[in-house]
Amino acid sequence: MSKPIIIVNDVSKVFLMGKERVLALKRVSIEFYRGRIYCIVGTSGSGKSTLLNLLAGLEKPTRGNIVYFGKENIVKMGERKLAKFRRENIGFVFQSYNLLNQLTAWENVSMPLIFKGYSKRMRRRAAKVMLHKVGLGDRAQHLPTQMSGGQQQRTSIARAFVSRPKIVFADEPTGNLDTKTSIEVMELVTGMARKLGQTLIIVTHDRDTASYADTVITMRDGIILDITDKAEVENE
Amino acid sequence: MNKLDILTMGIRNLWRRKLRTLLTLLGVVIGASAIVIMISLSIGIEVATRKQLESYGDLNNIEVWSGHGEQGEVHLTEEIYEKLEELEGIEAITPIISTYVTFMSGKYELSDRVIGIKPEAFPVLGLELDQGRLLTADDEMGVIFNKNSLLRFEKPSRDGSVGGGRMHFYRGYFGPRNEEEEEEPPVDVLTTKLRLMVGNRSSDDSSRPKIYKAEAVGILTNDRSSQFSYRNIMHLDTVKRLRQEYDRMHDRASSKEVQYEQVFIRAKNVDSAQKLCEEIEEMGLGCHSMSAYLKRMEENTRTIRMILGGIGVISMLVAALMIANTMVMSIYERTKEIGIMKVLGAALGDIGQLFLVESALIGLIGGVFGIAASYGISELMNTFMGSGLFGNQLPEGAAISVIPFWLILLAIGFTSIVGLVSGLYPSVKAMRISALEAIRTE
Ligand SMILES: Nc1ncnc2c1ncn2[C@@H]1O[C@H](COP(=O)(O)OP(=O)(O)OP(=O)(O)O)[C@@H](O)[C@H]1O
Ligand SMILES: [Mg+2]
Repeated sequence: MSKPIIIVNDVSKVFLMGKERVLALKRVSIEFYRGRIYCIVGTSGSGKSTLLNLLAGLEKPTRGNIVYFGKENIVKMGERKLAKFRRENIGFVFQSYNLLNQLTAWENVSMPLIFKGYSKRMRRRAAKVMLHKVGLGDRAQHLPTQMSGGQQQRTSIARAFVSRPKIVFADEPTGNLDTKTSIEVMELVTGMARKLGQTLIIVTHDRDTASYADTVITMRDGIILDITDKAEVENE
Repeated sequence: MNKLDILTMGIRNLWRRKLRTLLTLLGVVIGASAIVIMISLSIGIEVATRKQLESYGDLNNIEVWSGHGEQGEVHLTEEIYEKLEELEGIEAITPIISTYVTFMSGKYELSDRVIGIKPEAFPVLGLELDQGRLLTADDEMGVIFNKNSLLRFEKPSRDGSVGGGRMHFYRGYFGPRNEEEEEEPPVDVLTTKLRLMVGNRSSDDSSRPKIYKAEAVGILTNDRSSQFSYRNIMHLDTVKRLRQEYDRMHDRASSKEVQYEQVFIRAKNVDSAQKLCEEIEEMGLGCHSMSAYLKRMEENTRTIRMILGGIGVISMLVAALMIANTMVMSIYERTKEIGIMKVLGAALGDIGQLFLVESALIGLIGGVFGIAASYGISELMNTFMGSGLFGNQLPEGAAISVIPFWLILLAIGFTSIVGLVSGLYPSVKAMRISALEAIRTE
């Protein structure tokens, strides 16, 4: 097997709530491989979001290391380096879309490219292509408030993929959507990742969503209970 | 992020909150125009003061007399003059010495005082010629006449004395200054042969005075452009010689050494005029310069100028606080936006600059409108308030508010910097916002 794209090594996360200590992650170790789709499932409060945030460098673990590409330890990175790292390698899809309300769909999609310093012309073209791919070619000029939840989530998917990141994280991307829209969104996001061979890590509540994954990671009380590799099962 | 995107995003964000931006801008406009108006008033005072003094005489000119020093009287000897010449900040310097001569032009004669000046000093004396030219170093016997003296050329009466009949002295000083009434001098000295002798024909000396050939080279205009406008002028060395002859004739040989009556100095600028006068007074000489009054008048208006400046600075300070307040509010409102941008990988510097550019824009635009407003206010004040604002210290018709070009640049630069500085804290605050917490806020 090829080398892992992310190595999580003995990572713990403690939240301090006043005098109370909440142990959200307990000495978690796991490896992620290039081009695969992962689903993290588990009960509420099991530490799924915490793990995802640590992976994306949005939060620092209390102990342990998270190493990308066999060399870049994001735990040791300063804020500035982390921002650069995210800009170049990571895409993000949120449960609550998190679009900027004053910007139109295409402008929202082009945000990661603005931060990369692309010209307006290139941004607009790339954003429109992405919107087309997520089926919103005719909504480029719409504001988020003028779109349905599903459309907003597609826009945010377009935004996550527009700069071709190596890894895309999604925290309950279908959490606010009905079953039918959820299926559409899941097919869209997994389809895109597969096409470009990107690594996709999705946190989800429901087991149906997990069926899109190559690997399902089950968590409970801050530890990884089980890792099921579907591809391996099929191969056997 | 490229700079243009930061700028356009800044403008869009300001535009999004039009009312608030407008109110903050208004604060800056008021602050900027307060500072400009206050400074323009104090410049107005200074300009008017200068103008008034200049109407009394050139501020760069210095007159030096003999005086009383610590070691007794100090005379304007050649030795002292050489010391004066070495002082710093002098554009031109000349001693002045005078004597009494009689000019003879054709049948007409004029007994008058003549002063000697170094020809090199001529160009800076502010003399204006009606006819002819100025003296050069070679014009040993050249004479420049003033118009009033020319009118007093008369035919000598039989007993040989001049000026018996009509009182022509000081004509023009006290007489009507009517151009149409201007008299023609009885003789055209420029074309007639001119001679002169020391002293007065009527003084019945046994020794016959020597008669010199001379040449009239120029005639001064009849205005008071210079303190020399009512003098007859010759080469310094010539007058020195004539003076020695005069003294010998009148048995004043006791003073062998030549003493100048006065030294005239033109300083390079007002500041050096002030400094020169101080140094000269330290030498025990008497010094007179309009620049000394300037200093005194500037000291008198200093307090009022400081109060004016203070008012301006305080209003600008209030405007700066308004900008900072607006920016802090804006950051609270946009916490989530900042969080999203951070998660998407925006560089910290870019986020800081996004807010800085907004506050700097408020400063810049406020400054521009502030200057426009100040121009209007300044115009109104000059039109309707006249020069009565500071007691009747200022000359009639002087502008009380003067806005020079540098003040415009200063104001725009100042408001932009104030905008930047007041945006500094908010933008650092924006940079420090935790991305995760920010996207969780609603
Ligand atoms: N910022 C925080 N401060 C304090 N405690 C926190 C914080 N974030 C998470 N926790 C705690 O850490 C534990 C794990 O939280 P986490 O959000 O990772 O759970 P989750 O698996 O994502 O749950 P859900 O499925 O409900 O989203 C919880 O007990 C939670 O209370
Ligand atoms: Mg969660």
